[in-house]
Amino acid sequence: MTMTSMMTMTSRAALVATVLAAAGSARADAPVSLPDGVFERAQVDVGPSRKAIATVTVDNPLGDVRVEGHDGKNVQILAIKRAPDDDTLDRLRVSLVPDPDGAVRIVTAVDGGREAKPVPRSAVRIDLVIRAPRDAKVDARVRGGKLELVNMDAGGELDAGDGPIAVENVSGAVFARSLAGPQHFKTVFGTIDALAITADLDLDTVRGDALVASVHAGHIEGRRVSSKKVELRTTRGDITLDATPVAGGEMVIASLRGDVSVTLHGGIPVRVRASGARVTLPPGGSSIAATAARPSEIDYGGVGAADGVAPTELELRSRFGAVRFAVVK
Amino acid sequence: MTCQAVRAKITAYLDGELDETTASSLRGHLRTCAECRALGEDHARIVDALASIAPPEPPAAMWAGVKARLGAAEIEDSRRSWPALWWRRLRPHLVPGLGLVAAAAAAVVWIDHRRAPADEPAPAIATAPSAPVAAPRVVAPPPPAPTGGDVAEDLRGDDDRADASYRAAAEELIAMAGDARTEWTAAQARSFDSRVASLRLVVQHAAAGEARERAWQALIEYVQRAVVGVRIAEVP
Repeated sequence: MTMTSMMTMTSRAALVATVLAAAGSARADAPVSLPDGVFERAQVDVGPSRKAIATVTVDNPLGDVRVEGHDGKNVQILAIKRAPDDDTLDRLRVSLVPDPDGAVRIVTAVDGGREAKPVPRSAVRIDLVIRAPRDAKVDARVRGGKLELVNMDAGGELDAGDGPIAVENVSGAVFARSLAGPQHFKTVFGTIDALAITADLDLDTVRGDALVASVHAGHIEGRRVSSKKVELRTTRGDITLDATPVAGGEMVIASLRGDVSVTLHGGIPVRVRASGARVTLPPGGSSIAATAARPSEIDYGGVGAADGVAPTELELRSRFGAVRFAVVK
Repeated sequence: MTCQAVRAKITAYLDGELDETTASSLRGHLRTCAECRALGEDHARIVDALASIAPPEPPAAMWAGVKARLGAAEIEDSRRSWPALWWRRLRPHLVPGLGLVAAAAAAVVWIDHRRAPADEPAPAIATAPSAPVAAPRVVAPPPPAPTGGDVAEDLRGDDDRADASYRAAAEELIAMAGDARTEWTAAQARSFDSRVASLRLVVQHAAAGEARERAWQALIEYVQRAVVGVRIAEVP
């Protein structure tokens, strides 16, 4: 079976075939039988047409997607299909729709039909590994598989449903959404906007204009964070943040039922406002004022010398959890 | 729906007097016809300007939100033939019980929305209570399990499962807001209710799939900000 035959014949089939013939090459290995089924591996290389490839859109409800940046101009797609038998393998489709204006769209699907032997979802799989130009923007969606974005410079929109999201060595704005899949961000330079419903969120080495992350039921842990605007929220789940503030920055770390613990590094002055069931602040703040009306709400004043540097505003709050703030110079 | 028909019905639409099928068809037309859209925006502005006399229906914020998120279904509606639209309109009457429940639910959302002013100043920060209260009951049912049938059939259920998960989280947060609102002023509570009603409406009108998920996410983020005590006034 060739990659071309794997493609769903949509109304753009002719375009697909033309682009593949003119700008790409396709190769597919013969299906291989395994004790628990068969698998097939196919590779296609799509080059730019009129314009450089600027966006890569992927929708794969049947498995993992990994998009990694490279220095070339082509998009290289490796598709690995797995199924219990040859007939089911033939039902698994990978559609590739390049657009001359610089967009490449990759979609996977399963052929239906009454004659097809019913196969449970867990028995089939399509995993995609996509190598794309580093400066292309990625818009990728999976349902339960893993979604990875690596070595890219233009960020992307990621939606993983119940699957995990992993973003590493990426610049640009990253927008990430998952229901039950944990999210990991490592070495990201750019704005992050992340939301998970019932999953943990991990941030390691993040810098940019804004970091906004929200988890409904799950923890947020951040290390080496240095974004100008930081807003971390959980409904149920602790938040732990180890950050270096930015002059004139704003940080809001808030939870309803979880504990909030923030450690700041560096000499930037910080103005702290804290509220929680229990609040622990370091000694030495310029002023501490707890009002009778709001005994748990404390304006801590400032930490660090101002010297003309705009302080970072830090708001810490947990309605039912403990709040802890520390400074490491 | 033709431009002429849209112009004849636009005022009734803004007054909330059209049935859902006609409203959907009209919105679909507005999405594809710049001239009628401009007319609709003019009408909406007039309605907004009269807000001091009567609550705007819908307020500008909701109008913009709904307009921005209208899905393909509405465009499809605008292209339906009149017999198809009539069939859609009559179909609910064939199942009276179901129709009654849907009408009641729509009325609750609409009435709730009518009561809430659109752009009222919002609350500052809620204070921390001295002791935790019991977690509110989750109103929404758990997400439906995969069908266990064929993979193609199972894939078709993805949107429903995601929808149910987002709904459960949103309803839990809204229940939690019931506790938090005891510390808000009346104006703050009205502002919150108005915004939640608008966001719910956006969810209701969004096409299934990614558009509806985005709408749920916007609702969840707003309510979460409110219940954790982040300044509600800063929420866009």
